[in-house]
Amino acid sequence: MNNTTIYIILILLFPLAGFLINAFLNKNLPGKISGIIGSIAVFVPLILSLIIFINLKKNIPAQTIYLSQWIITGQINIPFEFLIDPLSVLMMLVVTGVGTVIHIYSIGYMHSDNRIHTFFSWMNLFIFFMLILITGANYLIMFIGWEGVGLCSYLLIGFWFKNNEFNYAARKAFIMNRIGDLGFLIALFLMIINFETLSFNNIFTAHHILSQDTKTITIITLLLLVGAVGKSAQIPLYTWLPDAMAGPTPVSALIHAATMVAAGVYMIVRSNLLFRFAPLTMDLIIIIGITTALLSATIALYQEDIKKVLAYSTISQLGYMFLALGLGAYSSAMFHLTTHAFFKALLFLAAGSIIHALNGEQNLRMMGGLAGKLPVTFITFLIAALAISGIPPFSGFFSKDQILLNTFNCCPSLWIFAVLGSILTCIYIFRVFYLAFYGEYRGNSPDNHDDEDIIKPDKDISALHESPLIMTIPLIILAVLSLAGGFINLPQIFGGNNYLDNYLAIESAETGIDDTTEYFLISTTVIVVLIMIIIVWFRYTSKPAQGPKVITEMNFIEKMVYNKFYVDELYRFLFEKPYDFLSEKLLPTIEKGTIDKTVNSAGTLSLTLGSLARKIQNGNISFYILLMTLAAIAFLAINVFIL
Amino acid sequence: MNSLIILSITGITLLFAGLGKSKWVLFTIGIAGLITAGILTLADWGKNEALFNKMIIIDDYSTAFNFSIIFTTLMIFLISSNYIRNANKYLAEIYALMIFALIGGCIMTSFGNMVTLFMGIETLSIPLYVLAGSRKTSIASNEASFKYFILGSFATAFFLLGVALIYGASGTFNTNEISSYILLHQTQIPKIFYTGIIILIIGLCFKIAAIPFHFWSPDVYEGAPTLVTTFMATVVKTAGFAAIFRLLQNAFSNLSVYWQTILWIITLLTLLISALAALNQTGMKRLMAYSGISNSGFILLAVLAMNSMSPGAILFYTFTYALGTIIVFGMIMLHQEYTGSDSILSFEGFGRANPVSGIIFTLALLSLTGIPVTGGFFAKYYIFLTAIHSNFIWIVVIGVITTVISIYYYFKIINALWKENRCQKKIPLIIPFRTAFLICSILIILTGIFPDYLIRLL
Amino acid sequence: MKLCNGFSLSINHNFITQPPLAIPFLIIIHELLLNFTNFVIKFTIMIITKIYIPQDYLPVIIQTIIVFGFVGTTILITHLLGPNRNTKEKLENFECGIESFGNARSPFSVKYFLIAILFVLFDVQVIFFYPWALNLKELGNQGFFEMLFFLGVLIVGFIYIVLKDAFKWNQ
Repeated sequence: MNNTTIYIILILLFPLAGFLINAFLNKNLPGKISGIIGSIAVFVPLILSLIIFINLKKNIPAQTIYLSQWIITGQINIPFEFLIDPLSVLMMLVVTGVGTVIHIYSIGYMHSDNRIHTFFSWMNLFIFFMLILITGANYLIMFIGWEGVGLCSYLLIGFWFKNNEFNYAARKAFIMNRIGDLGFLIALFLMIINFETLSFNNIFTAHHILSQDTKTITIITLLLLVGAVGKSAQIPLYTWLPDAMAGPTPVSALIHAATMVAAGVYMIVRSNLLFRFAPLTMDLIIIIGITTALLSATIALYQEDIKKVLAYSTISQLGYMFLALGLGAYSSAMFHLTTHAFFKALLFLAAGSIIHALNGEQNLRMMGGLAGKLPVTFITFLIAALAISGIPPFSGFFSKDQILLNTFNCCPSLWIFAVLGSILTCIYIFRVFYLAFYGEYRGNSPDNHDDEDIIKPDKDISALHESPLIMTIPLIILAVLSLAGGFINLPQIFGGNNYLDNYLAIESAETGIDDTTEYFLISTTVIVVLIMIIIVWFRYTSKPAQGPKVITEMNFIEKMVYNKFYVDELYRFLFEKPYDFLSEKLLPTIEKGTIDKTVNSAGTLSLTLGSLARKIQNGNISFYILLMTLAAIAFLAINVFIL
Repeated sequence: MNSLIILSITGITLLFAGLGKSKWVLFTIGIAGLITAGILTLADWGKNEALFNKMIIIDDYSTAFNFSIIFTTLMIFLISSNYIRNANKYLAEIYALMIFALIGGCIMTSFGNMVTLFMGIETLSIPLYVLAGSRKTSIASNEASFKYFILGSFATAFFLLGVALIYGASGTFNTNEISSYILLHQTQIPKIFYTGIIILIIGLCFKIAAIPFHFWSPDVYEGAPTLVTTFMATVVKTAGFAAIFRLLQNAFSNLSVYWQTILWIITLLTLLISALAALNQTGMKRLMAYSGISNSGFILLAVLAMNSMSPGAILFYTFTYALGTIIVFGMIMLHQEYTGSDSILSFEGFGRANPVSGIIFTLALLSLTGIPVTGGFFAKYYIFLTAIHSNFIWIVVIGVITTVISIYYYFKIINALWKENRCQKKIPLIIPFRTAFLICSILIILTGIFPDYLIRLL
Repeated sequence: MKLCNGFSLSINHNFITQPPLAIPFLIIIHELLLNFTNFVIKFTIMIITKIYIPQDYLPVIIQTIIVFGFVGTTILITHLLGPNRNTKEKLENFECGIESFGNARSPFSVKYFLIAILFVLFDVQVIFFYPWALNLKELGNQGFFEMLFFLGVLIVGFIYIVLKDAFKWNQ
């Protein structure tokens, strides 16, 4: 047992221990203590991940850590094993790093909730499963984590279970994820059938892959893609993510922005050696990625709920990652995943800070003019907004720029779409920014209370105050990371050496673009984005007291976008209605008439036979002996006459 | 071998310690003796030696089973602690007799000779006849004891007749010599030899309560004190299967085609009738008796298959089954002490009043049913796998069907446990009980997650 | 009886008046009978062909005959040879001493049985000494100490019995 084995065991044990402590001692601990325990349970793995990272830097090769045997049947041998390589270490750092920050933030955010222990126990459980997903060295271990994070996501979305809407959102997320999981699961079965192993090391050896025909690989990758699409909320399975915002904001930041939704991307990067042999799947990923990026960015333009905007923004950014994946630029995707984790977590936490200050108000209509009241939130949100828009030198610039370059390299027409998406990104994020922080405070204007159901006590602007230190320090940490995160993969033209690309050492598509073109492309994008920011500035600060457009004033297309292109309704019409219809028809005939009757009569038959069998046991000892003797004679007769 | 000596000394010491007043001393001595014996058994691992003119053979098979039954007895000792609280007058004798029966069990797993086997069976059985009647004032207990004694002697007679016939044909008691006798005289084996095998199997099937020689089991399980029932359901069963498999493998494996037909019929009857008869039971102990018979049927599948996977499968099954059974009987014992009833109805609301006990109880029942994540699932799985390896497909199908039927009666209990019922009172758990339940439930889960470690021992 | 007659009559009647219905009925009965006889014949043949001469069991049979024969013969011979003069006194349970009264099956203390059982137990154990004593020389020191150990176990048992108050009458 070498050091790394001990580290990996500890990394997994700490969140689990945190979960168990918080789950079983729940009412015996003060809320703050349970938060601290939860944070430590993530912080220690962060330190250990850093140690592993430093050790790996010293050119210790990637290693598979074998913990124990698990399933051995016939040809198939699936052990408990964990893989430590640059990819998993990077993900571990992201998950534990962002996780720690968000856990600390949650101590402040959740302090008034009386189920804070449950919250932290589930959060720790999530981290545990996420780490299993990341470090697993075969697809089954990965699947355990995959399912586990889905479960935790479900639990945490429905954390405030007293609200029925939230429960529906949780269920929706779970069911949508199940569709993806099914694809993943079938892919696993196919891999077992074709490769007779699930270990990454064995599957990805060229020998194994080359011995399969392209069709098999394509089917497997397509099914894996279904899994990834479900988890990473891409078209057509993206509608759960906006609804998932029902959970507490730290949950949205950790699970539905930074880590879990990126699991799909991670999985494809992990299986990149399979996807390489399936050009069809790769093309499909490009199409899914760019469509999702544009569609959700458009929807984000008209959302009123601050968290929904961010949710659609997440979907859109994941679309960019998928685009990169489809282009074969795996390390760019991982780079964007990392920076996105930083700035999107920051956006969510800053939004959480606003929501916290406004006593749970999420509607942009009720905000405005918060810049002076929440200075730290204001500045950090600005940094994150600049990062997501791709303004140099913020982290988002470098990562998005890499993806755009790769797109241009592949096909310039696609590049135009990608830039369009980038423009949309900056529009919606700065719309939120201006609506929330500039203009005048609209929270106390009576005409905005058109929604009768949710009347919140009017809050005077003077009563607003900045969140406590325990919430602002995480914001500052993440702001620094969003600011500087891009430098881990500084491209050559800015004097860097593509550190991350070299570190991950995944064979990625080469960008054969010369420096002049590159400068031109970058400056074009940046200039367009900057212009858009200014335009949005004028659009939303010209009439200070006005919030977002009211639906009655919208034209047809705007209404369409406002209602999210009616995708939810479409799904309801296409899937739910026929399903309801079928179940209503089948219930009396098939279920009640046939199945129930068969099952019930089988049960009755068994019971009748059972009471017969019981009668033999009458308590009379001579009867027993008689029966036993008869049986013995019967056996002897068989012995004599038949055998 | 050392463990046997330690156990004998423990038994005698217990008898003398019983003359004193303190009951906890007995408990301590018993536990200490069992732990020492367990450790000494583990030290035998990997050895392969024959003692007393090959009458006793210590090998990995016997060591594993010995450890299993010693461990089980240890758990039973832990859950016997409420006997101490109730100041049972005959505690020393009960403990000592249990240890002596355990010695019989240990001999049954490590015999090399049919005489030793007979000695083991009797050493195991005679204390049990007494133990079954150890609640002297209870008529049910006395009846159980008497029935067990009469039917047991009857079966012993069968067994001895079998041994005699085989000795008459082959001229030896030694199992390996019998095996070589079969090889040497392939064509001219006299018929009495075959008859001997059949009668021998009948005699042994009585001990493991296989239908149609199971009649003692429900009556005795119900009448005997619960602690003794636990012992019968776990240690006796494990030892019995270890013995029957060892005998059939060492002595008669070359004639397997021949006796497999008989055993096939017995297995079929056992699986079917026990599952059906259990359906309508209302008393927990009687239900557990049928459940035990049904489990015997499953283990018989592995005996029937008689291939290289069988020993592991039997060890795994008996072990996980013992774990679940100890928990269930422990709970019955606790419940009986407080309510005086063992009917399933009286368990209504038990889980709600005692959530932790309820969860452990449910876990044990799930394991007995064979629901995944518990050891019981892999136990059944490996049994079926073993049987399929030897091409016994149809009886495996029957086995699966009876498993489905068994869900009904196990879940009937689980259902009762978690019903709403305000009359239930909280039952406090004393530390030995807690320890036993904790160890058993952890092992149930561990065997369910890492079955390979245990299954690959043999 | 009546019903039975009526039934048979009606069959006859049917048979006479309605042959088309009765004939298939008869055919079925015939088939059944044929099949049954076939089965019986086949089974008998099987038993006859497969039956083996029980020479293996011959010793057992002889032993059985001897056992039962001996018992039977003895009883028979005593009956035949001995004079048979029954008087009332002779048929009494106890034919000498004072006249009997009441039932012989009166309960008496379980202690008698306990003592008897213990006596038998130790008596049987002591029987082991005879073969040991015969072979003492061959067995040597080891045999000696083993017997000492055996004796020790017996004595431990004896001490236990004494401590358990098995020999105290008044309890």
